[in-house]
Amino acid sequence: MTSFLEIKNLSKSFKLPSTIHSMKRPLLPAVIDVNLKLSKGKTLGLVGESGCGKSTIGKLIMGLLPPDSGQIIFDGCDLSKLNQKQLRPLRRKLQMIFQDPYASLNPRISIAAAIAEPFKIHATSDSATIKKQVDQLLRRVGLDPKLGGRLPHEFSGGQRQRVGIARALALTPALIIADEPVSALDLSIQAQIINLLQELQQEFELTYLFISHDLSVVEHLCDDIAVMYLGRIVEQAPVTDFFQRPLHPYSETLLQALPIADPNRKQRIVPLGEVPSPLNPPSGCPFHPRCPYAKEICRNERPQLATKSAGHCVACHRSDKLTLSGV
Amino acid sequence: MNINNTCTSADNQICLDIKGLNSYFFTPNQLIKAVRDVDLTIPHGKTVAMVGESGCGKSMTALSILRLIPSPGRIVSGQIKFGGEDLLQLPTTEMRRIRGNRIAMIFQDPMTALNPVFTIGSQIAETLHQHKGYSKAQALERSVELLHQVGIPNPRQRYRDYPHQLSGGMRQRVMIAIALSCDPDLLIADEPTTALDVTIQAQIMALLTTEQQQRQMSTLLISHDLGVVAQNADIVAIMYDGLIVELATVNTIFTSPLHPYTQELLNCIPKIGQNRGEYLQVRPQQKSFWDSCPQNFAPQESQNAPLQNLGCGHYVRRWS
Repeated sequence: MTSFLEIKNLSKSFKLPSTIHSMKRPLLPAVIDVNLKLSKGKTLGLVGESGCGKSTIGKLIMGLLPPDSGQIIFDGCDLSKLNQKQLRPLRRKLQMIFQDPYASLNPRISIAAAIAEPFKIHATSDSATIKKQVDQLLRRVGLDPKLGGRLPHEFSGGQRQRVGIARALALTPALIIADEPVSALDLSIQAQIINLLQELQQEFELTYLFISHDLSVVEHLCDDIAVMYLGRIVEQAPVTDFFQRPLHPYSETLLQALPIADPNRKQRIVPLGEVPSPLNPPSGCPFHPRCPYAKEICRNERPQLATKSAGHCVACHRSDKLTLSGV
Repeated sequence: MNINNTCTSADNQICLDIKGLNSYFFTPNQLIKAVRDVDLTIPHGKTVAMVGESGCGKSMTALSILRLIPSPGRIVSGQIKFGGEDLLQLPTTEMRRIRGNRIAMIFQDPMTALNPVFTIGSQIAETLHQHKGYSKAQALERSVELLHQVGIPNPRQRYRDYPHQLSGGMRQRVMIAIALSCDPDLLIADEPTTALDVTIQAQIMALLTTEQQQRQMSTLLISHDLGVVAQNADIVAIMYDGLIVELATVNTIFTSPLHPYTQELLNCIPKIGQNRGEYLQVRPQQKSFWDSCPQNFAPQESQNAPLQNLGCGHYVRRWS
């Protein structure tokens, strides 16, 4: 299987402002040496607690942030080697859906104009065709084309998310990065948007990178899952494999913490501690202070990501000796 | 736990009893009936969860209990019995003695609920000073003790911290410490973990459960997360459009829901290992639930269906 998007050794740090105590600007490593592969037409779920670097990866792929090092190979082209002009035609193929449909639409332009914007920027067609295409897109995402002249504030959260999706679809992209697209929505609206994303994937053969902290949505939508912790991928696996038998203690922690909508299945273990500051990461395995299985080696040596079975890799010293429980 | 089987919920001591509560918003353009005919009993030491979509009136019910409905909203009618008194009849000064003291509330976003210019210690001490008349030294000691109880490491140092110096989970722990400071009989938790990561959510819910059991406190948990509700509630009230449409024990709601709205809520969530990759069952967008629901549940001639008692604490809003 050829990969459609491949990320190789991607790293990104942010320079924080200097503090009153020191002029030196501290460096925050957000993404460290990340490798990921996405096959065409599939969905990869990227999960982790807030601040683990999952959204940064999305922005790096989109070219909204320059990487410090590493490669992003999309459909055979290394995006990091191209200049702005060469990137432009490729940008059409990469689109993003954001979490907050309130913040990601310009409140002063009508939704039809917002959806038409990508056509205008890429100068694809004349205004009559654009109008037709916008109407078609609105209909496709379940909105009445008659509402096109309205401003974002006249719509509900779910409808705005549909506008965001229509805009992302405008230039027939191949890869959509969805950054928490349903977490701000009510349950029934969330279900409608999940269904829409699934329909569109089938219809347009879309590849999704689905960034989320909600494991039940990831299980529902994704083919593969990658778990991040403090900027690193700690486990990557096919979804069914992952939920039945996670290999990293952090994955187990996440699964155990997930509240199940069944009163007869009570939660078992309460996770320990909080995510440490990425400015001062723990030695050895970054998860060891919160890991119930940590041994001496975990404190001293950082485990490398190693493949355990088909498509299932994990970065844990003790994964061979542990039998972790899934859901 | 399982009051469903024994059917003895009526014998339980009652902490709070809401009868016929109506809270409306009088906006210049229209009348919004945010809370309509809500009847709800919170038994002593139990957790009652209110579930529903945003705007269904669950938070407004909670704010009505504390009489904190923001203008232009107003409690129009009803009765809220708490410790032998009707909260809606109490003078303002009396009500103030109850808020934060015998009924405490924690909010969704601990950053906006805490005052950013005061240390967390002084915010806990303020409550103790107001309601319990503690001296400065007493309040400090008690605050440190409370911070320790809610799982904040080095409470004596953290006491002097400002809210921005704490993580989201820690801030929510501070909110809980403030809420628990006066040993309330009823704790109202309005989406206490929505802004938090799952791991921290599990920690906060475990903390709330332990504290509740130790103090024999009643809890009104407001949430839209069915997982959190299934794991933590004893009784569940499902709200839609300002109305309680179904009320039952947690087991009944999740295993044999009768109202189509409850069924829809349960069907439209992704369930691990069950409906992977399938389309979720949900009504088409932009349709009010009432349009698509069966005749004997929908309002008829602008009258809502009555809340029918099916026994064993199971109520459902339908025409018989």
